[in-house]
Order: sequence, then structure tokens, then C-alpha cells
Amino acid sequence: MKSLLASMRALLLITAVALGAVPVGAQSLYNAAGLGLPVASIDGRGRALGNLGIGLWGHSLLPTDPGAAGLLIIPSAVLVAQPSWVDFQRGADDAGSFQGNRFPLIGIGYPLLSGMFTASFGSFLDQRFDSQRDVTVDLVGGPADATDLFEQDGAVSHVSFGYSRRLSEQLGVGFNVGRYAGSVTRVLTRDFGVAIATEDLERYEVGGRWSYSGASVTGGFAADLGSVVRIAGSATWSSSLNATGSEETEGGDQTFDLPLQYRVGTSVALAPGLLVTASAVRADWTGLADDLSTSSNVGSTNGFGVGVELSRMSLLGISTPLRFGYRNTSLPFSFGSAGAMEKALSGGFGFVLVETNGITLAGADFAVERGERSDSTLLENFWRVTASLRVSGF
Amino acid sequence: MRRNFIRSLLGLAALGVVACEEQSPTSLDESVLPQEPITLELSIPWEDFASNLEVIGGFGVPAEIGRGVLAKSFGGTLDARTLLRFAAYPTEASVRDTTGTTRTDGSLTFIGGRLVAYLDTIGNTNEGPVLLALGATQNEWDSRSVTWTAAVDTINHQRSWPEAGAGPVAPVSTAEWDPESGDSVSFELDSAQVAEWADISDPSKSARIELLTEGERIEIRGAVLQLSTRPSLNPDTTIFLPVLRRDISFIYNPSPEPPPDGIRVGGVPAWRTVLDVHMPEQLDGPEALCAVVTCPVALHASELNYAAIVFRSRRTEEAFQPTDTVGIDARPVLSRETLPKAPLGSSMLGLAGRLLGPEVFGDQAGQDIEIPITLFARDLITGETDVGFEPPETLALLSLREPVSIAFASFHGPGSEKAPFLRLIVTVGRSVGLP
Repeated sequence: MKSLLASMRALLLITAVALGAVPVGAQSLYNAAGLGLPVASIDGRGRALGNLGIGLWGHSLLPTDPGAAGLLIIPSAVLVAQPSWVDFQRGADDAGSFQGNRFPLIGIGYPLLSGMFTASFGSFLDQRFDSQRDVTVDLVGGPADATDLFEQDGAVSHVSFGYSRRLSEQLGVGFNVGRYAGSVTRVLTRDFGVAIATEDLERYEVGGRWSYSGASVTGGFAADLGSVVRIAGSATWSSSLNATGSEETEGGDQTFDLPLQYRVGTSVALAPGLLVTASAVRADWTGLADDLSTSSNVGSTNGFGVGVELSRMSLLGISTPLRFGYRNTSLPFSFGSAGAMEKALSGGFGFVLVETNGITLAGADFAVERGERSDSTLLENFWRVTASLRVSGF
Repeated sequence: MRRNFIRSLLGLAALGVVACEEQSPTSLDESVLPQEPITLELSIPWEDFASNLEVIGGFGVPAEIGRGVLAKSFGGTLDARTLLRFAAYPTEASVRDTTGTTRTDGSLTFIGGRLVAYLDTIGNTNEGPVLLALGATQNEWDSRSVTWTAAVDTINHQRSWPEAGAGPVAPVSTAEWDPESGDSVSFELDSAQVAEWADISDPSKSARIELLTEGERIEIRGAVLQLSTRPSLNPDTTIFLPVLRRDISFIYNPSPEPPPDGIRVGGVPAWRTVLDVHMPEQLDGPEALCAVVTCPVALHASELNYAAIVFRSRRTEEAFQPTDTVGIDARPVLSRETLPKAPLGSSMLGLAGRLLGPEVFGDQAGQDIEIPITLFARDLITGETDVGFEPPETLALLSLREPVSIAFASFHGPGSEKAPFLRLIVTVGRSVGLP
């Protein structure tokens, strides 16, 4: 009974945090390209190791690695926060910086029916950005300055529920069924400011709001080869992503074909306390090009990440594994003729806050990434911090 | 130590996440913006946006202004006189007696006095000295209904002046006023006249000031009666005690006729001009617009950036020509069928209204005067106000404060080359879709 109450409290806490975390901050100008910038639901440990969300040894509750959830034995939950600071340069004149915060993953797993039921909420595509252009309008009194402000605010998010189970001591399989959700508001405003001779000009505003819907199914496995190697793989099939305009929206509805996504990953314990990981992802987004009305360049998401973990480090008597990694992925949408890439070097550490019988009941992981996103026209340098809190055994 | 370290670390991490201010990435790259809309200016002639023009007079009375007007053959026609009634005389005063002690004296003797009139040096037309005459009226008059010909004109009581123009009067004194000598003029009063005006129970006891110099118009800002008083405590001393005015009004002749072809605002009783406004439902040009959208295109309220009725000022009748700034207001008429007593909505021009110098109706007549009506026009396009009511279609053009002056503003009306027109600034573009 006590355990059930504790579980309920944890569930309520996670739900409350999830609801509060729904707004997703903008973190890249690539949000303006095509359907936006893909956001991976990866925790602090995975980020520090350059991982792409699959194949990590040990505790892992990621929607892209359902097989690993099958190897969990106790209830678990994870909450990830991710602030970032970005400098961008586009051509000679367009440069600046911005910062934002997002919560890319909130997940929970609970053992039932000889397996592990999972639920997660995370980001899929970031779409928020602003843009503006200065224009001159011709009035009878002469030309007057005005500014067009365009604001796109919203995101495609992803909610999934799944079931994973251990088929043998060293093999876990699982799947999750997800639903794409979220919405985007696109508003163009012409502001005449105070420069115009005629007073009291009302702003011109046109735009709309679209709600997203769609479904996905992810299936995967994770296998431990002895106590040295873990290998994992998963694939995600998505239905079309439907964008439906609200009643007042004049712009039409749209359907986007989402790609099949493949992921593989592995972790190898080279020596006690020394783990190396590698992962790769592939998704071909080119089929979506015909669905876009803008002239974005559409490509494939191919990427890999490698990392090393020194798990026997400690600080002030606390187990503090150190992690380093590198990741390199291509982005599906870009502005220039060439595709965009994201590269990042990462480092981080974890804390085991509460441990019982070798099982981590509470831990925190931090990662710092220094990277860049670039295509032939836009360069972004970013610092990205990922902090995740995981609890187990509630 | 360990626990504190962990708490500090988690606290810092939480603080860092929460304190990270959201800044939306802003790019100057035009390629990510929707197609540029077009902003253009349209002029809609009177016939296509307005109808049922009506000039209505009779709002307010001269007594509400709290000022007086004097004129003699101004503009070749206008005569105006000011009527004044005074409050009760003081019955006691603090005076210094023969021993030098200040005491209240309840036994005062009024041995004479003077009526001081304060004149508006800006609103007057004269540049040289003018002669004014003070007389004592002989007939009862009602401050709210008095006119050039009627002393009383209330529902149950009508009585004309024996002589038009608040006459006859008993002459009291004359005085010359030179604008260069100051802004006031004094009329000397003898003790008999002072005693006559002391009886405030008799409504016929009052003063009439008239202008004897022809061709000028003067405004009186106020007046005060100063009584030369001999106190019983110190009979060798004369003190002056002020008596405030109780009523001030003015009468004038002739009353202006409604303009047959123009637009009039102001005056006293005040004139208003009302008109019905219709907004175009669709736009069919100009070429620049039709190059962006398929014409004709429906006009939506959100596309209307600015709407204003442009009036052209014109000279007013010389007798009622403004000599000071004119404040114009525009308000929706909430119930046209109840005109002239229809309730009006909120001002479209704010507290300051639209202030126009007198030259706009004189030497610089013909100027464009814009009266913005953007929100009014937007409501007409949508067919409802922001609170869901049917929007009024009728607009009233009136004086900012009403009444405020004998002068009024005039504008060219429909049918002339300088008829009012509707100025619109609209922005039209294609709808914003998904990327």
C-alpha cells in the first residue's frame, strides 16, 4: 500500500511537470526550415556520450530504445531539461544570438504483466522562430516605412505508450505506440510604427493556427552479449503528419509524409569502469519535399555518435561517472543548396544520489555540448546543457 | 558535506533551467516570410461612402459658456450684447477700526462702485480702442432662454423684450477699452445704481453691456462688481468689496441659418453635422492591388489599417468667423431615429479632439482636415462591434466642448468640388499557409 502511494505521488509529480513543461523553447534558426528542427528525446547521459538514443548500457528509458526498457526491473522515471545558447551568422549582415529552454523528454516505466509499461512525452520538431523585413509602402503623401513581422510559434510533440519485456536474461524487446500532437501558429504582422505620417494606423495581421495529429509505432530490441557488449536496434514507422487549421484559419490543411527511422547502437565495456558507445540513425525525409510549399532543401537524417564513459570516478565520495562524446548528424531541412549538419563535442558527468543493493534509486546526469549547425548559408554555434533526473523504485 | 554539495548542485541546475530566458530566434532572412502583402491608399468619393447629411442646431445655450460676447455690425450683420446678474452683496466685512484693531463690521454703507469686465485679448477682433456702454435692464429675463427678441422663452412663460436686444435699459456709464492698456475695462457706478442691483430678488435688476464701436466683436471672459464701501467702524475709510456675478449670458442677432450645402460644427446654440457612413464591401483596383490578388476582392476589417473622412475647410460667415482655436470631435450616433436628441458614443478623437487654428477657416480655407474613424469603419465592415452589437452607421461631427463659442467651423459639403472623401489605407495579402 505504501509503495502504491509512493508510486502515485511520483506519477502525479511527473504528470504535473509534464503539463508545465509543454511549451517548447526555440533553439535554432533551422526551426524556420521546412517542418522545423528535429529534437531527439535523449537524457543527460546519452547527450554526454554523443549517443543518438539507443544502445546505452545500464539504466535507459528512452522512447527510441524500447528494447532497453524491457531489461529494466523496477519502476523508473526520467525528466530532462535542456537550455541552450546560440550564436548565428547568416551572410555578412545577419547575425545575432538567442537562448531558450526546453524539456525534450519526460518518461516513466512501470512493471506490469511480466514486463514494463512505458509512457513518454517529448519533442519531435521545433518550429518556433521570428523573422522580419523592412518594407516601404507608397501612400499619397509619399513613401513610408513599415515592418513585416512574422512569428511562428509551436512544435510537433510526441506522446507514446509502450510495453517492453525481457525474453531472456539478456534480451529485451519492446514497442510503443505514439501520437503526434502539438500545434503551430503562423502570424504575419505589418507594423507601420511611428515613422508614418498618418497617425493611428492599425496593424495588419494575417495568419492561422494548425493542430498536428498523426501516429507512430516503434519497435526494438536490446541484447547483452555476456557482460561486455550490448547491442540494440529500433525502427519507427509514422503515419502522415496531418496539420488541420482552426475554424478561423484561412490557410489550407496539409499532410506531410514522415519517414521511417532506423537506429542502432552498442556499448562495449573495454575494462571495468571503461565503457565505449556508438550509435547511428537514418531517416530519409526526401519524400516530404513535395508536401512543402517553401523552397527548403530536404534531405536525409543520417548520423552517428560515439562516446566513452569512465564509471569509476567519484567526487566527495559520490559515484560520479565522467563521459565524453561526439556526434555528427545531418538535418532534414536546410536553407542552402547543400544539406545542413549538426556536430557537437560533449562532456558530462552523473551523480548517483541514492543507491540500494547496487540499484540506483535516484540519479542526475549533466551534459554540456559545444557544437555547430551549418549549411551553405547559415552557421549556428551553440552551447547546450542537458540535465536529467531519474528516479527508480518508487 | 556530501548532502549539501548535492543540494547545491541540483539547486544550481534547477536555477539555471528556470532562469534561462526564452528568446525567439529572429532572422532577417526574407525567404522564410510569407509573400509580401501590399499596402495602398484609396480615396472613396462622397457618393460612394456617405449619405443623409444633416446639419442640426440648437445644442446648448449661451449661458452655458460662462462668457459674454459684444458685437456691433460685425461682419456687417452681427450685433451681440452681454447680460449680467450679480450675487448678493456682502453684509459684513473685516475692517480696521480707528484704533487699528481689525474687527467684523456688520453695518456697511455702499457709496458707489464699479463694474470690471475682463476681456479676451485673443478672441477679440479689435486692434484699437473701442467704446462700451453699460446699462441697467428694466425687464426680467431668463438666463437659459434669453435671446435677442425674447426675454423669457420657457415652456410656460414667453415674454419678448420691449425693445429687441434686451432693451430698453437705463444708461449707466460708458468706458473705452484699449487692448494695449490691459485686459479689463471698468464702468463707474453711483450709489443709486449700486443700491438698485442690491435687490437680487428682482430678476429684472441686471446689467447689459453693449459695444458702441461698429465692426468689432469682443468676448468677455468674466465680470465682477466692486463696491465702494464705508464701514461704520472707520467711516473715514473706503474699502472695495467684490460681488461675483450670478448669471452671465449674451444675446445676438441675427441667428445663423442652417447651411444649404455645407457642413457646420460649433457655435451657440451649437451646430452638429451628422452623416451615414457605408464602407465598401469589396475592392476592384487599383492595378497594384489586382496584381497581388484576384479582383474584385472582399475587404476585411483586419485589412483596414486606417480610415478617415477628409473634410475641406471653408470660410464661415464673417460674423461667426472663428478667432481662436476650434476643437472638433467625432462620435457615433447610437440611435439615428431619435435625432436630434440621439445619444452619442465615445469620441473617436480622444480627449484632445482635433484642434484647428482659426486661420484654417479664414486665410487658409480649403485645407484638408482628416477625422480618423478606423475602428468605426472596421466595425461597419465586420457588421458588429467588439462587444457583439450592431454597429452604428451614423457619425456626428461636433464641437469638442459644446457650446464653447459663438463662432463655428464650416466645411465644404457634398456636391461641390471640395466635397469630403473617405481616405483608406488597406493592406491586402494572400492568406498565410503552412510551410
